[in-house]
Amino acid sequence: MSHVKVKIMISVMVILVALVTIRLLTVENVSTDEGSIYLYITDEHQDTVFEGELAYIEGDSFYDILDRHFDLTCATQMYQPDETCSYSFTTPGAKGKVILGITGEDFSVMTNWTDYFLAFYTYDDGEKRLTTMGPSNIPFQDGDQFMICYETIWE
Amino acid sequence: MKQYGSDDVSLSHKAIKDTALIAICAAVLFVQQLALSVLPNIQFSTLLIVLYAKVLGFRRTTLIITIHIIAYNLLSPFGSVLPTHIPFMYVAWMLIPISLSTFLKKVNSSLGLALIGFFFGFVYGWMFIPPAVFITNAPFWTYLVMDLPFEMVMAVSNFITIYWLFEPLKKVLTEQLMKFEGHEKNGGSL
Repeated sequence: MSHVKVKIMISVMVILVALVTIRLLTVENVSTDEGSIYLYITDEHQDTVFEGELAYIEGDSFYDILDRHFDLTCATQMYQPDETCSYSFTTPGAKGKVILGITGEDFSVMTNWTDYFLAFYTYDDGEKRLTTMGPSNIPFQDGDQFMICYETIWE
Repeated sequence: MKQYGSDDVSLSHKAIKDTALIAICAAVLFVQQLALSVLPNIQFSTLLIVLYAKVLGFRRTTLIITIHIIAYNLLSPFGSVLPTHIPFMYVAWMLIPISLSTFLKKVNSSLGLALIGFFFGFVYGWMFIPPAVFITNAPFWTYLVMDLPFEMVMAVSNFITIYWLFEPLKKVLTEQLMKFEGHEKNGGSL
């Protein structure tokens, strides 16, 4: 077998192993049953503007729950506001949306990504922890509590 | 008054040429990293640093990496990495010339270097774990697992680029360097 053929075979094998590994590491956090989560939303003054239970159905992601109960503003590829939320960011092992703003019946929280952003927190044994995934991939279970906070990048 | 001999002039010429060479190599490293910034962790940086370490040597490669880190963090339109992370970024890139000048000095085949590049893809990611965990308070296991896909992409990118491009680039750079040093020996100018 020629040297080039061996090189091609080794390269293809390495790429295949990488693709399989990335696929195995990719988790899709969607609900397998009906339930509800409890959510707090705070504004730029750290005042709680929303507090309540949000129901979800089978197959919902955390983003789907928010999208069903609120009017969301997402980021485009250039991090500009987009009320249609049509763009999804794709990175190795994850795909999802960046939420810039949330509007409810009597409140609106809007960030610009450059100076302000929405931080997503989960509660682990009563302790508030920053989530390590974006809203499309945040894992959740029935009864879990979350907080979405308006935060500045300078803090 | 000090008299300058031909040896002083030759040394001065060599220093100027070395400076130009280092600047050009740093510019190539910087531009390709910027050009490929839209693709997460896909770049030719590892290939180029391995190439520089093998052809230009440890001292020049160290200077190229130093310039690159400063330029990238000052001039990148995507912004610098967190200031607390910059030393770790520098140490991570310096692992290549350090290892290729010491315990991996005898590795010269493109496959061997590609395997080193593959492993380096993970090491580079792990180098940012201490600042992430101790400075920005990221949870260790979650950070480690979430970063693995990105490390894998960098590892494969390193492997493929080094495996296919190291030999031809080494040949070209060595030829150019021989011409450059030939000029130097003949006392000519570029």
